[in-house]
Amino acid sequence: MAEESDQYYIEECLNGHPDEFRHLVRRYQAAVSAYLAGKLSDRSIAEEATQETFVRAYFGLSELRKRESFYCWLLGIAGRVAKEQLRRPKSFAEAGCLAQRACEERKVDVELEEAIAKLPDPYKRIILLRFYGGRSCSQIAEQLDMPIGTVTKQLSRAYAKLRQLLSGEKEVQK
Amino acid sequence: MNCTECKEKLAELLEGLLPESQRQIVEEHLKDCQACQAELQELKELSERLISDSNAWQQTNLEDAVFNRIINEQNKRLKQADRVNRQFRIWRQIMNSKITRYTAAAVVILIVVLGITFLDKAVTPVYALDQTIRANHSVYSLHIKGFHPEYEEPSEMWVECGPDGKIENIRLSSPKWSDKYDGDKLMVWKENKLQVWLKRKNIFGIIKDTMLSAQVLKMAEEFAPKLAVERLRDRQQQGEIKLEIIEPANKAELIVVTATALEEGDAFFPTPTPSNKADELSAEVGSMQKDKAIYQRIILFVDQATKLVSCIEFYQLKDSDYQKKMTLEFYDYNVPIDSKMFTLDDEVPPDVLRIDQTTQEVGLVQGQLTDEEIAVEVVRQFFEALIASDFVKAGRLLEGLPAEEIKKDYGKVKYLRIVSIEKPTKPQAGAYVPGAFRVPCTIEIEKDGKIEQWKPYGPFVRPVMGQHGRWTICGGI
Repeated sequence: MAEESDQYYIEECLNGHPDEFRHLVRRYQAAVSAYLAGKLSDRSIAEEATQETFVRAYFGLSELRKRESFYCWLLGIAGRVAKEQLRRPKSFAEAGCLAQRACEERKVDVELEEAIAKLPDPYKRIILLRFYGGRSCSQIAEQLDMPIGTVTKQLSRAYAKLRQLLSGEKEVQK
Repeated sequence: MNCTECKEKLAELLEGLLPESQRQIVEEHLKDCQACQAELQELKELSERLISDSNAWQQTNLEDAVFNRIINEQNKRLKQADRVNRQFRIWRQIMNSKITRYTAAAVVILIVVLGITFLDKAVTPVYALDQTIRANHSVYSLHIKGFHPEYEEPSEMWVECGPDGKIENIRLSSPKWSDKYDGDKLMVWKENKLQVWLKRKNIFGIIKDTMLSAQVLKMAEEFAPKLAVERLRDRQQQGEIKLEIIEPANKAELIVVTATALEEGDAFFPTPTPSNKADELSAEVGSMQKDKAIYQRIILFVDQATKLVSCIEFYQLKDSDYQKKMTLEFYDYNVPIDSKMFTLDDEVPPDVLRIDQTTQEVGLVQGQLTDEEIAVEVVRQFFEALIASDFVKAGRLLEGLPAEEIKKDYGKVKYLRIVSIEKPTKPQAGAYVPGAFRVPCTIEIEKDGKIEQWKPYGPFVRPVMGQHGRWTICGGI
């Protein structure tokens, strides 16, 4: 089944087919989840925060001026949700649990996600879209409206930065 | 090619995006360069690590959770908007209560006095009824509350549609005020079968009549917002009604659509359909259509985010005044309704009187007989059945009551013979049972060993509820 652009689904949504929002949720849920897991270090809180992000996006759809920028706008909302979450005073029990859960979640690569969350915005966006959003480089070039050469260059830089962050963390752990 | 140049191309190489010529050059360099080989290896590992982690997230499906939260948030906002709405209503009542012209100065004073500030923020309306019509296409379930201005308890209806948008299940709870005779009842309609629980008489009937079923379905369609809004749009296009739309800039507030009938019209129902049968049936259904009211003005409150209707108010024009006659509120759009809501089997008390008209035939077929003739015939056959102790047949002729009930009520007496049956008297207007004939008769009975002549108060005979062409005794004996 051919997939439509973000703009198409947003258009449908605002024209009385709110159900079409599903497609956008499906498309970006992994990317938003991974990003939030990286920021919040806890998978279940990240899932909560992901849902919150999409709900806010839904209600704010009519305010989105450039519909092509849905993805970046969505990540912006996610960032704000994460900030709010982090500012909440944690109980001792919660704080203890977080560290524990982070270790237990071996299936999910918490170290990697935390590193992604620390990347500068342009690199972060590309990494999330490429791997968690399942987009090819040419699709990314189209969506973010940049030449494909720029996409690969940024990807290359993103890799380098990621490796730097990951090896840096390894140093601390030693 | 040197190492710096090569390293820059590695990402492209991994993505398979290098043009053939460049690829060959890079691979040539890699053959002999350990450092760059190591670099490529690290990139591959990182890439695989990313892929593996992304797979861990593919399993979760957040769609349903997200939509549940959206719907809950929606309901919360509609409730909040209602508070703002009240302010709005006060303003509207003042503005609309008399058809006089307010000067600009008077309007400004009003605004200041009431402290209503959103008036001047209204933007040029972008909203059009079409948006609600489209939103309604994806509504599959809905909960409606109908309020009469004088009573607190609403009548409530739950409606569920199939994927084709056609109504499949209905549940209707009617409080006492909605129907003088049978008020306080519960009805469910499912797969074209109707179950009715008359709470006051504690009767549970399963009705098979298709016309009655159709009437209930029609009522549900009338009061679900889908049809109402489509009708409004059509009638506006035909110039029969005037629409005024206020779209507040604050998105949490509701859009207010006021539809006023032009000339001697009805803003809501397209054409009233009075006919004897329809009146009779609607009396039995006990719906709010009973008075066949004409509403000269209706006001829709529409949620800005979803374009779904939150509330409709119905007004009648009387002495230059618009009086609110009915309010419909819409809740729980697309909140799934428990299937138990559409059957009464578990809700009726164990001591309820069950009448299952789907499995048994009630009354007698009129055929070629006149109304008087069939009334007499029903009475005659009823008593003949009692004389023969045929309680099954007697029950059939008395609203389809089960034989045990008949035996309980009539079995204590021995019925000997019919002395006489007189000409039925015409139905009285305002009689307890509308439309019934009284068939005076004298029956010889043996009670406590004594033979006597019994003249019952009735019996009253009328057409079977929902089974046309059939007549039954309905009381008076």
